[in-house]
Amino acid sequence: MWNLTEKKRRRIIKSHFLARGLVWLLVAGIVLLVLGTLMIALFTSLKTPEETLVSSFRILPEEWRWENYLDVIKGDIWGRYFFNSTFITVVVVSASILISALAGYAFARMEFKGRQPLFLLFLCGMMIPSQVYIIPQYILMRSIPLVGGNDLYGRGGMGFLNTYWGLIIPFLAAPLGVFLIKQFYMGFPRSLDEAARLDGCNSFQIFRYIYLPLSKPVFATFAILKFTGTWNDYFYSLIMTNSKTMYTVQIALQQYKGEYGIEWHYLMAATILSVLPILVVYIFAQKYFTQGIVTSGLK
Amino acid sequence: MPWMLINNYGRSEMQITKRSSGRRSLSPYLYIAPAFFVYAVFILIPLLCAIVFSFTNYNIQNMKFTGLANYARMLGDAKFHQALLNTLLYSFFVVAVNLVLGLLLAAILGQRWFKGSAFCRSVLYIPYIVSPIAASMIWLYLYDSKVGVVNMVIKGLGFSGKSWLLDEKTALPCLIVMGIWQGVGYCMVVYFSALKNIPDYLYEAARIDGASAVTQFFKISIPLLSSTTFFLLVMTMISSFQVFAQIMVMTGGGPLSSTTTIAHQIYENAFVKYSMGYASSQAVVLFAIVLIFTLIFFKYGNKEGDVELD
Repeated sequence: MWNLTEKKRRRIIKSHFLARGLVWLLVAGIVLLVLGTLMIALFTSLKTPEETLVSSFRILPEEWRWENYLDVIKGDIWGRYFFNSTFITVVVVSASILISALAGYAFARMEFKGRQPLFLLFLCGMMIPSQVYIIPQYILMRSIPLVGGNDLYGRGGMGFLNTYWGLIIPFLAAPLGVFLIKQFYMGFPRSLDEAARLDGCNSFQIFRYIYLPLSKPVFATFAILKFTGTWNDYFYSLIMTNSKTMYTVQIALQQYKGEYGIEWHYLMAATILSVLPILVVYIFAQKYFTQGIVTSGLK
Repeated sequence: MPWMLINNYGRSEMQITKRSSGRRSLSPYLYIAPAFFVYAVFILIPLLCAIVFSFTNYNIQNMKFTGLANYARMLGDAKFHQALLNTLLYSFFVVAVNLVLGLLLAAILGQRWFKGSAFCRSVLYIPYIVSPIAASMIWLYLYDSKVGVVNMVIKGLGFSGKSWLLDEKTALPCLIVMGIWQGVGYCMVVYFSALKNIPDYLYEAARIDGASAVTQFFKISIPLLSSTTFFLLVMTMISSFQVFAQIMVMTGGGPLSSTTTIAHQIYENAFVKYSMGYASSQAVVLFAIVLIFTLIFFKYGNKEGDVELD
């Protein structure tokens, strides 16, 4: 390298920069494509109906019709759908954090018979596609005794179908949470427990007063994963609901497409609305979004 | 916390150890109980029930044991064969492209000279967090034959447009392209942080030995990423085997069941036709396929997993 003449060296450096420039352009192109799809959805949601139907395409709307959003919200009970999704998501996220933290703590810090096999059993849960067990799950939800018009044997009514209970409880099973929190707690020094135990804490007090206050990062990570998973869920909610008042945002959006024939500006506005909560959280807590999938990936 | 410690100061150490060892036998199970209860009741038991259902003709009202009849029926069900093929094709292309493209993007975005890496990564990840339903709506618009952008661009280049989702030949590839759009950011992010974990001195040593960036990538990065690759293979495969929402919104399995998938068939049989016994047998097949692929990857991943550093 050092023996080269000045001319040759310059040429190598030049081709080097050219290659970098090309690679940069290629990646920028891909990123632009992805950004473009999202922007097209956003801009279409602001167009007039006539503008969405002309065959010469313009990315930006000619006049920005923010009323599209108002029309969508007024045209259907979107307030109710958003309430349903928000309520379900908030309950699921907070309850599953608590449940998984307890289990994760036991798996990380306690010795007991069957610890290893039980933990493996939890891990398997992350691998099983939900379509595999959806049918019995549906029957189970329908046959919960003494609710939704059911008799003592779970017959006659609809059980937990079309209820918040039905849309919340199965989501509380969070093998991923148990896994993430266990891994996180394994990283705590044992001396922490021992010191607390010498001071007279029992295992629950150690959990409550030492582990919980230190758990914010892992809780945030898991909360984000659970939040997107619950908010974006379609398959399960589709099967467990059939009355409009219990629709989640996803189901409502899917129904919205068919109901009025396709009016693209309204459909895109509804789409953007449904994505908005996720995007807002993403903008403010981006770190935790990627952290979750990375820690679950790298063990 | 301090007040609690003070409260316990009066006790002797003996008492404390006695108390905690006396509890040791039961309390771990109490901690696990809530998580395990929900998991067992709403996932494990239904899983076992699905296997039992698959040997019956269950249809909400009646249930009769029919042995292997459902599985025999599946052998002759052309629609299910099509679903199986579509699912495998979809998964293969989505997983393969996403892993390769995700790795390339991660490697490029991880270079120090790359300007705007953080922004690019943020954008690429967005499709992964957008719900499948919302993504389907966006792509439905892009693919639309009259006003869709895809056709606009193609017409702009002088070719004639197409009804992409209404053509047997192009419907599945369209869904695959969308699947790549959705998943590539995920693979990129996981690879990106795995690449960051590879110690710098390995690259420095290679550079001193005169290895080019490309050689370094193939001889250092790829072998050391094998456990990440294996993890991504399993995760992206499991999720692409479940592809469902896109199908429901964009094609409904058509045209002529050219885009129906296993998940879509399970849904149709169980919740449209109410032949839940038959749908359960398809669910068992889905489970078996995922299990087999996972085991294969595990075996392969373990073999490749312990790459020597020198």
